[in-house]
Amino acid sequence: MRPAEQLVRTASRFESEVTLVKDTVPVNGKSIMGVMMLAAEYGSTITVEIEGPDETDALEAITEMFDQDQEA
Amino acid sequence: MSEERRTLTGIPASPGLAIGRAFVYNRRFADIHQRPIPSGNVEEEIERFRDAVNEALNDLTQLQRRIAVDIDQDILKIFRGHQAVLEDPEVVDVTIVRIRREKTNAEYIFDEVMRGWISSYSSIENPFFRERTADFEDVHYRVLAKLTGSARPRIEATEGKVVLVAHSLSPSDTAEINRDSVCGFITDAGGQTSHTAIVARGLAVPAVVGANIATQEITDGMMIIIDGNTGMVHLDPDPETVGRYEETQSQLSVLEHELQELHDLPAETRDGRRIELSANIELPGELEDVLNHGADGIGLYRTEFLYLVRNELPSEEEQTRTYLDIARRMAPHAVIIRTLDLGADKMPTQMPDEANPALGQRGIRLCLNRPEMFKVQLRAILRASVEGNVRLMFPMISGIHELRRAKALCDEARGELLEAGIPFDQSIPIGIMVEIPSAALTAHDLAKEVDFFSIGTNDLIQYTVAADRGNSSIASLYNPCHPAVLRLVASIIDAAHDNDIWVGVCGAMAAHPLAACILLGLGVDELSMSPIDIPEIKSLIRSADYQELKTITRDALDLPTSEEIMRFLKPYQPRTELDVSDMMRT
Repeated sequence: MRPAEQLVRTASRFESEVTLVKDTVPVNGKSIMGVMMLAAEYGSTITVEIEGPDETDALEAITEMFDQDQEA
Repeated sequence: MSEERRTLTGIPASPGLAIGRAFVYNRRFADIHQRPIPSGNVEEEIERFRDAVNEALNDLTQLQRRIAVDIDQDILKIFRGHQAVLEDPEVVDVTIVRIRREKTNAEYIFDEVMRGWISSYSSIENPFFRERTADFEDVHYRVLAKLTGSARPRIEATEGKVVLVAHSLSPSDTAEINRDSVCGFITDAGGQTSHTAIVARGLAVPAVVGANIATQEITDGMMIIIDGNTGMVHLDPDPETVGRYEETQSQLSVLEHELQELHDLPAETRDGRRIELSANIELPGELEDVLNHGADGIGLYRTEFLYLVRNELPSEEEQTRTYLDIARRMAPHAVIIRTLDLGADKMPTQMPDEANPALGQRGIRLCLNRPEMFKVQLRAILRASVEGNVRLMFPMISGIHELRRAKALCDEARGELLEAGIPFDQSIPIGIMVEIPSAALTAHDLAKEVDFFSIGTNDLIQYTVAADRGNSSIASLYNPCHPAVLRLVASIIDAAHDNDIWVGVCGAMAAHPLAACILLGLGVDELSMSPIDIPEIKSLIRSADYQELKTITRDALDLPTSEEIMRFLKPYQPRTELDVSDMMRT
């Protein structure tokens, strides 16, 4: 639950569209319902696509979030 | 009518008996019809939808305010989750976009959007996530009720106390129920962790969930008996059955009263020796049980669950939150947090298979091998220690080297927190589980470097007699009263006391009446067990004479077989003031 909330909160800070893709199924990274559904089936690879005016900053923030989570 | 047709069996979700008339509760809505919206009115329709969402959000805030006073943190979280759904762009924005594009009425589109989500979640295998559909349905109905102007049926309107029967009860339903009018719950759906179960336990109202066909079989006004201990539901019972249950009900209330009296009394022998009686827990959700059973604290909080619920390691933040929550709720009582005690075979990140996991890389061995992972947990426990009642315990210590390495990592974790300016309890007591014979035999050395011992008898017995207690063909070898086991336990207790540290027992032995007498006689300072066992052992201790037990257990240790030891001690096992064991377990 927590990482999902955290991701949604981080993604929502940016104007860019954040899309998570798992097994070709895309999910809106700003949607708690969508992200939680991916989180339910942990263990597979998820691709993050970011597109928009602040995409670089968004990428940085999301990468940082994942790294912190990994470490912890 | 056959006997089977007159009973239903579900999952016992909240204990106790309830006898009353059924009130079958259904959410009723005007059917949702598809209705075209003229182009000129589309924005107005969107506005109507936004208003409904905002009103629903407002209601949820109000509910949280009301509940904060008298129910539970868990329920607050549920409603915060509901608000998150109403702030989700894939729910709200998508509905708005579709209203505009399809020029269709808000309730129809919103209904479709929510049904889509609910059906996606219904197929998830993980039960935790699948059960979220109840939350989504709740939000779904809340907004539809705003849009269609339909009201929820009021349960308060009924006369006298009723047994509430429903397909499922949403958290909103349960929170809005007038407690004075409901004496029990039955739902078709749900499990032991469903909201109905949580709320029912919080309200101390008997409940049976997962009864599948309750709403089909039960009609309004039908006489119903719920047994929240067994999950049995009697429909339209004959007078004899009602009489029988009424009698049990009154016996239970007498017992409850006696237990309540015991609850506030100390675990102290007749001659004044005070023992700490604490609880073993695995989940924060068990705290309620711990407090209800009159425990003096948490003697063993097993942290493995945090590592097993997901296929990833729990973060420092998540662990800190969990530990802090437990420490706060138990304050001022002590909480002993045991660091991770898993075998390599159970870890989320796969490691090589071991032929013999019980003698393999588990407990502290695994943690010492993965210092970064271990330090995350140590930092989290230290951070929780800021509450002042947390104690730290290492499992599976086999000798002084492991203890020193574990303490060195703990010092590193302290250093990191100090550097980051994060507060913690500088004098947090650090102890070990003594559960390996090599540790028991070197207890004198170990005692000089720790603040306490907790004897893990389950493993100590298994490693001492080299018998797996799960293996039925050799189960008779696994014997808590084996002279070797008792002599080891005695020597651990003596080593602790010689070095002025306290020593507890957190294995199953602590909850076994005869074994508890032996431990008491050997001078143990603390016994930790499942919450449910506490009243019985407390009652036993309160009937015991410590000086007498002290003398005779030392004599018993010299006997050569467990049979002789038990036969010798049995007459000294006190008769308790209150024999709750039979009733509690029926």
